[in-house]
Amino acid sequence: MKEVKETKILVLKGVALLNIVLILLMLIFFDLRSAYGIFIGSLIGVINFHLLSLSLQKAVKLEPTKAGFYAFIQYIIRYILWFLVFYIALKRPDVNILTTIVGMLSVKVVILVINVFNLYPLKRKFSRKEVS
Amino acid sequence: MSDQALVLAASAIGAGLAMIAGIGAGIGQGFAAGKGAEAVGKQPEAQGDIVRVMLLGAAVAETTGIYGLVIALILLFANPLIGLLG
Repeated sequence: MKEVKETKILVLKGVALLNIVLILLMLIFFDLRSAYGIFIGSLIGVINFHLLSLSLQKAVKLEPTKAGFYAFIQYIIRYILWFLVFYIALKRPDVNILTTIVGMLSVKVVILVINVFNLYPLKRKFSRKEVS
Repeated sequence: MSDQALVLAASAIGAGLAMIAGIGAGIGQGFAAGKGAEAVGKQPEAQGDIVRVMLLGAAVAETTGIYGLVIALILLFANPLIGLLG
């Protein structure tokens, strides 16, 4: 699935760019704790995005009822992963929970920006095929 | 019952209610995956585009469930309301 891979790489590049800027801003204006939170949040966000893509690629090959159940179970697994990350961020004094949430949201922000401003590469922008 | 116990009890109930947000996103994602599987069955050549759109939609929709999780965790483990009691 070339389209999915292209989209994942595009999102990954956007997240990396956004988070490098955010980490530098945190290091300049705040402290290392905040920068560490951004790093952890964005890292787990990207891992979750990859897990989501793997589970959806498998789900569409199953029959519809099994696909729905499979997607729900995979969602619960990712939810537990988020629970562990936020719990550790809350308990550890060297990670800021608020910047961890910002790091997590950076993946969604990049997806929204890419789609709202249509920042796909040119060959994908005009990919609509008319039925003849 | 002391004020602190009342706040803690209400926070626990609030955390439980916040977790309901997570179930909704999961059911929605499962429903979308089922419809995606149907769409791929009808049009196998468009599988890449279907999964791409579903991936972006599911990634954004998942956020609402995680908001609920964050609220529940903050209410349980870093409750800001306890500090307001004085």
